[in-house]
Order: sequence, then C-alpha cells, then structure tokens
Amino acid sequence: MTCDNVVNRRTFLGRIVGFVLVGTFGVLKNSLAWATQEAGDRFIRLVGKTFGANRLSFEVLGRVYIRSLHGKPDLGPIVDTLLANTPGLSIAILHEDREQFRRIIANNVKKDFADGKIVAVEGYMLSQTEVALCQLFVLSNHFS
Amino acid sequence: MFIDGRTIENGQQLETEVCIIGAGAAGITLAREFSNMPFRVVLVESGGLKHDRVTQGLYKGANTGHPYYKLDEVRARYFGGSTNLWGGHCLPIRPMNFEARPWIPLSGWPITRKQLDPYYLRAHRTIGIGDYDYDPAALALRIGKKIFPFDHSRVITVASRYNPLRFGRKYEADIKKAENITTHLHSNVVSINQGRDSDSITDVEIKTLYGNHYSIRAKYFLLATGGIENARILLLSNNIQSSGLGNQNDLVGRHFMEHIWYPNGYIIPADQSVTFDFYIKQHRIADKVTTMAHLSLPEAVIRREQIPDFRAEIGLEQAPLWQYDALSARGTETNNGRGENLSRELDQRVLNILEEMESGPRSNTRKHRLIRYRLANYSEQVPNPDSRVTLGEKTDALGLRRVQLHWQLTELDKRGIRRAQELIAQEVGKAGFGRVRMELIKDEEILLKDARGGAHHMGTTRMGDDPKTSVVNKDCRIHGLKNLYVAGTSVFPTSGFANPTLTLVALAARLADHIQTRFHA
Repeated sequence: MTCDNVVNRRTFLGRIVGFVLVGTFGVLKNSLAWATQEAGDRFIRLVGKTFGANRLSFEVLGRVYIRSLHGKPDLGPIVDTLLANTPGLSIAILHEDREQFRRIIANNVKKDFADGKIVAVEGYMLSQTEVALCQLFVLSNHFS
Repeated sequence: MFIDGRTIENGQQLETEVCIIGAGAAGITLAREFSNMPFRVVLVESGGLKHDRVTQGLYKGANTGHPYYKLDEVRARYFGGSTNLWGGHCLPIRPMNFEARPWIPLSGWPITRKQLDPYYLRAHRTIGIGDYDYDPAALALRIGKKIFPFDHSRVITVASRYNPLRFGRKYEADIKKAENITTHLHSNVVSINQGRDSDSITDVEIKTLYGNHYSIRAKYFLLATGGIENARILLLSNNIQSSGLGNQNDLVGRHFMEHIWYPNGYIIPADQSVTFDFYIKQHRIADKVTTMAHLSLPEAVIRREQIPDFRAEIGLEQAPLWQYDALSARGTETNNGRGENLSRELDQRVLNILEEMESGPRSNTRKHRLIRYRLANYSEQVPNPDSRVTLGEKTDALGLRRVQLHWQLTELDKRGIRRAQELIAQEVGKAGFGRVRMELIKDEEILLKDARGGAHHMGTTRMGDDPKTSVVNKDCRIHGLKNLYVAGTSVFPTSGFANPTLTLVALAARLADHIQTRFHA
C-alpha cells in the first residue's frame, strides 16, 4: 500500500463515514461536502485515539479476516455496524469523547454477543463490532 | 463363596434361583442387593480376581465405523469389571433427558428422573460418593471456589462427584461372606438358552478357557456384561430365535451410543490474573470424594436450539507469550505457514482487543504467559440405528464370533456440538469474560474427525414400552421373555451428558428391587 493510497483511502473512508454520520445523526450541517469530510475525520480520529494503542492488533486480525473473504471487504456493512443508531454516539463523536466512545463500543460488543452477532476470524469468535473495527483499521491504515 | 469354574466337572448342571452374568458395576450391585436374601444367587464372571491377558483378549473385536479405541483396551474383564479402570466420575442424567424430546429421534425413557431418584441415592451409597447433591453453587461454596460469572439463563455450571471405587476390591469380602451367593470365576457364558415352545430362559451354558463346560439353570437370569458384550451374548444365543434372543425386531446391538468427546477450542480470559480452578481440577469434599465443575447449557436452551445435551470439560493451558518484537503486523501475513506461531500471535492480539473492550489497554500489567481454558466438549450422541454392534466372522478362544463395532455419528451430533460451542462463545463474550476460539470451524466434514468416545458403551439393548423400538421394558426385562433381564448401560435409550456409571448402578438397584418383588409375588 503506497502513501497516496493510504491518503486516498482515508479520505474516501472519511467521506463515507461522514456521510453516514450526517445522515444518521444530523451533525455538522453547514455544508454537506464539508460536513461529511469533517464528521468522517472526527470519527476516524476518535477511533484512533480510543483504540490506537492496540492498532496493530486490530489491523492484524482485520487482515486475517479480509484475507478470508477472498475479495474486497464491503465498506457499507462495516460503517453500518459501527455507526448503528446508538444513543450518545453522535455526541461522543462531536466532542471526541474517548471514554464515552469506548463505553458505547464496548456495550455494542456485548450486545452483539447477546444477539448472536458473531464472526469467526481464524476460529476466534469475535463480535461484529470488533471485526468491523478491525477492518476499519486496515482500510484506513493510519490513525493518528 | 467363590469357586473357580475351571474346577467344575465337565457337563455338570447346576441350579440356582438367580443367575447374574457379569461381575462389574451392575453385577456386583445386584449381588450386594441380594446378599442374605432367602434365595440362592450365582454370580458368573469371565475373569478371575486379577487381570489376565488371555481372558482380556476375549474382548477383541473389529471397528468398522468412526475411529474408535481397540475394544479390548476400554474394558476390564475380571472381578469388578471396568470399575477396575474408571475415573470415578458420577453425575445423574438430568430430568429433561428422560423425556421424549421431539428433536432427538427415539428419545424418551419409560421411567422418569423422579422415579430413579431414590435409586440414585442408593447408588451414592454403593459408590461411596457422599450426599446426593450436585448443586454447583453449594459445592463451590463448600470448597471456597468461584464459579464462572455467566448468565445462568444462557450458560450454566454443572458439578460432578468422583470416587474411582474398585467395586471388586471393595465388595469382594461382602460377596464372599454372603451365604446365599456363589461366585463362579473364570466362567464364560457362551449361550443363554430359551426353552422350546416357551417364553422363558431355561439355562446358561458356560465354558472356561481350560476347556470344561457346564450349565446353570435358574428362575431369573440377569445379563450384566457391559454395553457391547450384552448385545454380543444375546446375538450369540440363538438356539430358538435364529437372530438372537430379544432380536425379533432386529434391534439388539443397534443404537450404540457413546459420549462424543471432542476437544476443540479454548477460552481466552480477559483477566489473566485469576484462574477458576473449580473447573480445572478435582477438589476433596469428603473422604475419598472429590468434586469438579464443567460448563453446560440450561435445559431451556437445549430445548430452544433442538440439539443433543452437552457439557464441556475445562483444562488450563499456559502458553508462552508470543514475542511482540519478533514479528511485525506485516510479518503476520507471511506467518501463515507457521500455524502455532500464528495462533500464539493471534491469541495475543485477541487478548489485546479484549482488554481494550473491557477496560482499556493493560499492556503494562501483562504476565509472561497467556492463560487459556481448553474446552473438551462432551456431547450426548443421538440414537442412530446404523451405529451398531454385530457379530463378525472371526472367532475368539472359546470359538465364539467376535464383535464388530460400527460407530456412526449423525449430522445432528455435529450440529449440536458446533452450536453448543457457539452459544458458549456468545456468553463468554457477553459476560465480558473473554473470547472463545473454535478450531476447525471452517470445515463441517472434518469437524468431528478427532472425536472419540468416553469409553461409555450405551444403547444396544435400549429400554422402552414398545417392542418395535426397544429391546427391554421399563423393568429391564427383554420383551417377549419372562425371566431374562438386562442390567447396565446397554439399556439406556439416551444418555444425556452424564457419565453413565452412577445411572447404571441406580438402575441395577432398581432391578434388584423388582426381582425381589417377583419372589414375594
């Protein structure tokens, strides 16, 4: 993966994630183009700040999973999974509140397990949310 | 009194009231129950008081189905039977498994758990395993151990009791002393003979490895030679019914069941500093009695999921940590051919993510070894007519056809184990306790290739009300015969996940009561 690819992919991700965020939560309404990029950047930045200490672990499992798909990962379900309509998520993203964000993700992980939303990654039974995070780390590659 | 069958005169015809064939857990239990009763009992045992190679060799047979142990290595053929080998694991079959379960073909016992409870209590005394109490919370409290913090509506803990009592050694003196009991050692029943134009057994024919033979006439015959040999002796006993005794509906030997023992996968706990050793090793609760816990699923979950019953035994593994610095994330991609290394790395990666989800990164508290709870799945096997014991062409030292075992698992067996593991994985994650890894998950076909049994041979003379689907009735009497009974695991219509010895001893005590009632009548 070249540096340009990384930037392009990250920009692309930022737009998609931001678009979903704007659509879902109505955050940052000044202009759609700006809002999507900004919302996406905030989200990706927050993911990086919150879970970045172990980004390598997320990436490794993300790669293993993506390899098992025999194709490109589908970004739609990843974003849908991570941004599922969760109370407090938009506020956490807006304020880049790491603790709140971690709690929300951890709750979603538990809810996944309770609902049977489990994905096997090399036999490890992980929650959909965890696997989505793993893939997001691979796709955006660099979180600062 | 003990006598050596090899010293009995050739062609002699002996008489008694009750003839028990086999001196294992069931046979010895029956004999003890009859001790000093006002009728005579002969207890016939193939072996002596110690293991001998030639007698043990009579167990040899062929395996033609799913890979299985050598048949002469999973049983002991001398006084005390296979209690000379067992680990003493006791657990009653849970109530649901006595009922007809629509998703398990041919399920349903003709008796209830409640009816068996008083006999379980007696079996506890016979085996010497203390109180009839399997409450895991109470046992955990008693030994000061913790239970896994799971939602009990989703995953439960079950506790077992253990006392590897050698029935032969323990009860030899009692049986010797009983004036109404004569034990014949080194005496092999080669045929159970039905009277002509009669629905009764007249006598059993006995041969020894020394070459002499004799017979025993009795009022009642109780066959207690184990889950495979019970079927074999019935099939060999064809003086009137050419297909074998009790085999008018081609059921003797069918529905052979094991407990499917399938080590697969492990739990990586989030908290690496605590071990739940109630599940890992046996803990003493009384003189010679220990307890240990396992994971299982609530009856309501088994019903909802429509799977066979299931428990998982837990083992503790401490693997050396994968070295962070040795490989980069990119290195992982080239690490694929090195399974163990990759596995260790991924264990570590999963633990990192798990810690993130539970309380944030804790890398500075990391130990030097990674703890995993290994899962040894232990599932009920679905009754399957194609899983069966038949007579092979080869013969043994007595000239009898050796047994042939064709152990077969079904799709429901495979689905059950897999689904049960998924449900445990869900709860382990939901509780924030850890993450489960299931190995071999991708390929259904090889999912059970490593499956073995617990050396529990069940179902070959199954109990039921309908002669078209069972061999013995609820009193363990063979349908259509007035005086031939079967004791032991072969009468189990289904097995649940409980090790079978406690239940077979309970059933033997119940059969003893029934025989005594017949004498009174």
